[in-house]
Amino acid sequence: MKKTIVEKIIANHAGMEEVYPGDIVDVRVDRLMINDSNGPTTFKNFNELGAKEIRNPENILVAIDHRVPPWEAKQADNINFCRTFCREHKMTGFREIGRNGIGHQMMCEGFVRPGEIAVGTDSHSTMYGGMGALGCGINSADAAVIMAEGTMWMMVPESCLVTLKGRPRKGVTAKDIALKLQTLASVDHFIYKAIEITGDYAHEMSVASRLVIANMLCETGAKCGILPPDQIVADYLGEGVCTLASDPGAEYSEYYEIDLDDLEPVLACPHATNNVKTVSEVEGVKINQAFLGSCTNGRIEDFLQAAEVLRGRKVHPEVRLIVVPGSQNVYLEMTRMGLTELFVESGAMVLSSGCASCGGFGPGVIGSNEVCISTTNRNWQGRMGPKSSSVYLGSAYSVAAAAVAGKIESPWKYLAERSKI
Amino acid sequence: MNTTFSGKTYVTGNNVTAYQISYNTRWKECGTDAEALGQWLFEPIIPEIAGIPNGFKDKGYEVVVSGVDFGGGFKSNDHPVLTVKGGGIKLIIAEKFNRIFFRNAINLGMPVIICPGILEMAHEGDILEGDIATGEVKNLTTGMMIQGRPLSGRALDLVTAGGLLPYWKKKLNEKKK
Repeated sequence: MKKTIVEKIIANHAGMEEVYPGDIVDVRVDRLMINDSNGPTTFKNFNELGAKEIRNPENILVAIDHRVPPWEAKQADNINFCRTFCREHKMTGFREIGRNGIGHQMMCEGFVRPGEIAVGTDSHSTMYGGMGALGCGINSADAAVIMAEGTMWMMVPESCLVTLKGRPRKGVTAKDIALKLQTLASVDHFIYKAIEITGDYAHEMSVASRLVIANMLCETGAKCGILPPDQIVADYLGEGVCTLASDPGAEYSEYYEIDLDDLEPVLACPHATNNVKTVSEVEGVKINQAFLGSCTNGRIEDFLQAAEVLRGRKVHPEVRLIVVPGSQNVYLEMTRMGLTELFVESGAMVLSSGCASCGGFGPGVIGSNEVCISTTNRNWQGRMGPKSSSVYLGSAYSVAAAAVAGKIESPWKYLAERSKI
Repeated sequence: MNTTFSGKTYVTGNNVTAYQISYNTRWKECGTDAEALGQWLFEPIIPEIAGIPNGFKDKGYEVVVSGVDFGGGFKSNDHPVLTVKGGGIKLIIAEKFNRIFFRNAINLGMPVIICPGILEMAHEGDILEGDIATGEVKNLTTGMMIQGRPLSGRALDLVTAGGLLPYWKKKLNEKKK
């Protein structure tokens, strides 16, 4: 039988020759991410299980990202509970504040490898699919059992194939592709399915771009999204050749195409990730805040895009631009590259790494009736502030362009001006 | 090992989200106490039971039939499943479940059957009987039958053991002996 990459990964981890969509199997888990939101419950569940020891402590990464650094004593206590638990159980994957980052980002900084099953106690764990791994979100009970047994149960998903045709124009990014993907089918269509991304451009994209797409596929309701690994991923990890792929002629339940040549910069408009319009359709909408960061777009590639627009320009006097690196590694690198200086000089506020206000708490939430343009992944009503506020999602180019203009504006305008100079 | 559940059926449409199973303000009030949460099952979608504790539970429904994306909204919390469980429901049959809801249902020992076509053969008040091990669903009121997806392997073990944590607790305890 010809198999898709996801079926191969699951069969391999279930110790079976073949698996079929709908089968429920036990799989070995290679990597587990536990964050500060679900850490305390996970560790309490683990204690309750009465397991003798943690199966593979070296495969677990514990991230403090949602409430970092803590601003309430209760949060500090929760983190302390996790810290103490990890020390007692010799879990070296606890990433202390100062060496921290968003869990998903740290998982993709040399921890998760192609072909692995990597899960996390957060829905955007689909991001590991950008590394060529099977990544999905789990809850704190699953995480406790993985700590004790190293396995989890999983239903084999149907696979859908999306072919990226052509190449995007300058100023059109992986985020624009990721938002376009949200519009391929109705809201509930991709539930429990695996979405595999193929086409020449899927193998030309940087790892950072692949992570954007796999991260946002979570919003379609899919179980996982995967970009088959290749030499680019191998080079990123400093490893040898990676040959894992779907068999030629493997069957998919559905096929889709996205034409990249015609794609324009797009935004997900309030209050749904699939309410996608071209930037030109919503030009002129005034914004109060612009946000650059998150597990979706908090990497050097994104900050370089923003810098292309911001270099030599100032953030609009009536706008706040908040920049949040995805990890301390990213923070260090952007600082060495002079990007931190560029952002501060342009009038932005640069925070230390973490989820910040993406989830509606943490620094940078917006006020009543305010509008934010953001590189984050969700724009549900009230996601980043009160119900009267609204969020537009887009690429770092689009966010930076709006930060300068004080309103939504095509990033093309700024990139074109630049190329004339 | 009992894998068959039956009772009076409540039918909902498509896309019943986590927040329509119970308001998240109730989650904050009740924590993860299934009994407490169950008092507020379907409060958001049945206007006449708003604010009435056990408004739904007192109607005596034991089976819920739903369309696609039951429990949707990407909330990973256990509260929606616990609300249904605490609301006296023994079995949920849906055309398609939200992924996280489905996973949490199994992990919390809530019997579920994925059954495309179920909406067409179930009506409010019918007595339905479903077997999670075979996937077979019978409408005892009309005599109709439909084949859903059986729960297999570990998932069936987990549901019959009352959930993921009780299952592994027992298993790990046995290992020690």
